[in-house]
Amino acid sequence: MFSPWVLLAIILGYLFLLFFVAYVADRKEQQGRSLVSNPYIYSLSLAVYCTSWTFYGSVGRAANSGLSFLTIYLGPTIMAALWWLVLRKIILISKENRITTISDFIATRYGKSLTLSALVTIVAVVGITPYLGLQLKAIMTTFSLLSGRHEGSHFAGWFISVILGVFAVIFGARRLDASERHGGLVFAVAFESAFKLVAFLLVGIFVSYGLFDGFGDIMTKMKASAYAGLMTLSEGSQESYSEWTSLTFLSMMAIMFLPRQFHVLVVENTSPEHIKKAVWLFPLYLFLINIFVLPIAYGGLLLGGAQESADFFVLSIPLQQGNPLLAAIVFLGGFSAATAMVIVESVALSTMVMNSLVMPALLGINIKGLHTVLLNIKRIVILGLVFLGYIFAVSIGEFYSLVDIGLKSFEAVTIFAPALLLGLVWKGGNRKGAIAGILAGFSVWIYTLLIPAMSRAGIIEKGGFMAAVFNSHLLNPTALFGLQGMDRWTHSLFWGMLLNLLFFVGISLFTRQTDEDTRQAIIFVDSFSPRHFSSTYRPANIAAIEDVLEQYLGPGEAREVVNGFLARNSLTRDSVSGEWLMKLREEAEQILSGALGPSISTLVFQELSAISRDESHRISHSIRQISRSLRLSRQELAEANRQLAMLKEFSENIIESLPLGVATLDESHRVTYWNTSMELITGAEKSDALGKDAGGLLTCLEPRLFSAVIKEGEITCRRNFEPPIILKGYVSRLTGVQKGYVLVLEDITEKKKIEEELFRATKHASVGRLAAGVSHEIGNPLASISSLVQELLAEDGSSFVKSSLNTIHQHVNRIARIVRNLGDFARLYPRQRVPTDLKDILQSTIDLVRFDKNFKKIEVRTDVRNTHPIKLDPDQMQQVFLNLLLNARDAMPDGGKLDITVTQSNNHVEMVFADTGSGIDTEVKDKVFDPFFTTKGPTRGTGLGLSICYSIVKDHGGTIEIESEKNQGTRFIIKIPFEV
Amino acid sequence: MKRDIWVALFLLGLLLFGWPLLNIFLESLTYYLFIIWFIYIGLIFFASRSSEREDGGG
Repeated sequence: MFSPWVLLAIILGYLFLLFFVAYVADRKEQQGRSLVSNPYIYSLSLAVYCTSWTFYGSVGRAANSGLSFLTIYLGPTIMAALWWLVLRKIILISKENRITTISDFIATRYGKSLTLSALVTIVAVVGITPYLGLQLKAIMTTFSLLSGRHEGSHFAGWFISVILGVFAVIFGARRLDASERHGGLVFAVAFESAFKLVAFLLVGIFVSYGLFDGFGDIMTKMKASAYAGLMTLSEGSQESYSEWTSLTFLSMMAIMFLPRQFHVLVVENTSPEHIKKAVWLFPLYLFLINIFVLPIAYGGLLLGGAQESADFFVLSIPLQQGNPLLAAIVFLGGFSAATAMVIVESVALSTMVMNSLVMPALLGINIKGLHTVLLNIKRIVILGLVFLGYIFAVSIGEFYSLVDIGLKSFEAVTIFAPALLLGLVWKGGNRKGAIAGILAGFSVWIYTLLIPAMSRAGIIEKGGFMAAVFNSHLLNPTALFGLQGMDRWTHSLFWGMLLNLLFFVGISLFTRQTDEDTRQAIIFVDSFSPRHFSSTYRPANIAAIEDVLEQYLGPGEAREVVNGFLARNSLTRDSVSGEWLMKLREEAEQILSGALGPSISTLVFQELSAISRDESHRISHSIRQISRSLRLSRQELAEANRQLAMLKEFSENIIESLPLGVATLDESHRVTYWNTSMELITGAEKSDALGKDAGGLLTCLEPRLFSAVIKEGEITCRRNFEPPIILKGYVSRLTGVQKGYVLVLEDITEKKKIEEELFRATKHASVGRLAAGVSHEIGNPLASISSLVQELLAEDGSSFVKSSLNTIHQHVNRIARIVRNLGDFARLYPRQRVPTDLKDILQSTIDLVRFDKNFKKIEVRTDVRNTHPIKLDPDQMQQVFLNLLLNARDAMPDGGKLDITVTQSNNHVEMVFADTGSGIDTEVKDKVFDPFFTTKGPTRGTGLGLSICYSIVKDHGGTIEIESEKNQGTRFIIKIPFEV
Repeated sequence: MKRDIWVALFLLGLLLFGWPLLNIFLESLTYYLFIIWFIYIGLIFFASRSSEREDGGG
């Protein structure tokens, strides 16, 4: 045990150290060497979240309710994952608008509403002040525990409250700060966070390893004890899960919206970049400070401690185990947790009270030395709040546990969540909706949490009217509208959130936004910067602005602000135009916003307006019109976009389905579009083609399209091992914005083939008709001549006559042979076709020529498969075979090989005659089937043989092709279908 | 910083520290909560580090 005076001395020593730490940090800040502006101090300062509730209350809750204490720390951990998205936006908006409290933030979002700002402040003060008192109560209780005496603790509490109030005044209200940033205060809070963590870890290690054999030992003993149920959530109970979820949600909101958290997270933030480290450093701090909660709680119970006094196991265990030094350190750890909260909360709440309640009340009152008056009022408010907390602690605080009051304050600040969070993403929310939502939430909070608590504490009489209310089925505060089966936190949260959201969203949807509402909604939702909107109020001159600043900031700072603005923009007092005057007014309003709150600073500057109300109204009307037009334009633009996308898809579908290869190229011949047909024609995939040089892709083309000069016309594409394809290429220049070329390739191979066939058939038909006429007209007289010559030869005559007649006879025979051939060519009318075995015809034809002396040098090899009998004219087909055999003979005068193969496929018979003869020049290959074309000279051939073959094969519905190269032999391929 | 990563981490947190996962690990809930809590902080740390690298330090 410690004597009370020793304890007071320890407290004073610690507070002196705290003053020193804060003073040094403040000095460094003023010298421009900030100790605070780094993510580590920022993260540590966030641990002001861990109050005496964490330090003492977590152990108490763990010893009484098991693991549910963890929700208070898991919620902030989960929420930290969203900080870069949500907190960063709040910080940027706050910095831009010089917002210094959560009430100003919500009020600024909803048209800088003073009513809303005041309402948020009242909710915060009512909800948080008891929590403030509980911190002082914790200090007083631990003071009693450590001193072993109850008397004197009230005096100690009063004494400590005064010191904490003074500390908050010195480091939180030394001047009406434009930014409300307090380097010394933040550094002291960070120091306290580190101290309480170390103190808690020390006692944790002492219990776990000094009194037990580590975590495992404690857990094993707990499992075997009567308290084993604390190691889990109550199994099978829905209630425990709903409470778990509610508490997690409440703590997620509390970490953002408790006034002190908003202060350290947003107002004291020196750079949004610090969030990146805080997102994991702060959860890590929470993890570390909780790691020994269970060992201490379970250890205390195992050592015989009572569950009712578990809130102070942290302190009582070292005391009982005879370790006063550790007890003193723990006491200071708990003291630091409580003092940090009291100092920051009182500063944050005092700023809220000043901006939302005091300033509006003083507005319009002409007070001399207003700056000093305001500063003193703020100091009084801080001291007043701490004193109010002290009153609560010594009067009614004993009825509540740390956890109970803490959770009530969490529920209170959760009321702000819909208006604040939805206000960041939904432009439709308006002032009336926000006020209605917060009022509904606050009413539910009072009715379902505060009234039952006051009733339990005996502040409200339980009999009479209250008894009727509590026994009512619909109005029972703990089972509102008959809703039973929920714990009180979930019950209050459910009804509070439901009505809050219903009123906020419903009233926002069914009421009109003011112009200011609309303006702020756009600023908060769409962008971080309000500078898109110029104020409509223009002051008359610089002096007017300086006068206002002087009134609230003091003459020195006012002059500093104005001169700073002029220097930054290279202006003099005489050269300030109307535009610059507006900018100075905006800057001054922002600076004043930090000291007075945005609502008041706007009102203050409205009185400097150089434009009339009527003008202002007209400008607002114009802005509304423009907003509406912009909204319409956006809709039209979206529709046009949709149409454009459809048109693009439609065009692409058409181009893709074309049987033509289509490609577009840029000026340097690089491919920008390549359709499917192009892929088929060129063999180049679209993905490979895009961005490539067209010349490099179309290497198969002859002639090359893309060389020095771009060509167009008929081209041939030759790819390895594939038959060549004939293309028609068109190249045209793109006109318009997109310069370049359109290339269209059409595959005309089949078309060319058909054209050639048609030409040849027409030629044959014409020649056939001519041949028939010639054969008839010449044949008859020739027969007469021949018979007369033969008769004359039988008569006696001179040898000259006989010799001449013989010569005439030979020539007549020759003419007769030609005429007969012509007759054969012309006799291509349909004959009767009978099923014939090609093998027999071929064999009989070979037998016909076998004994020709020139044929003896040729090796004839046949490979004739059994084929179906095919309907044809056997005589004509024999003539085809004979002509081909004789052609082969003539091509191989010195001998060679002739391979004849006959095969059958699905619908036709294929016959191939391949010789090893002299071959045919490529140039004349296409002419060999033309009538009267011969390469054998006029004495040896009539040029009708292959023409006759062609005609006969065509007449049978088949095809005949030639493959030949000079000195490489010749192949004739005949295909005759089974059915014509 | 990638917005989606943070939203995914937030949703993962809700999943890991809520019903029904807690019910699954009811028998060893203490160990589950502390181990998963530590791992979750690690995930936030890595997400933060990767975004700092993307932004070129910070």
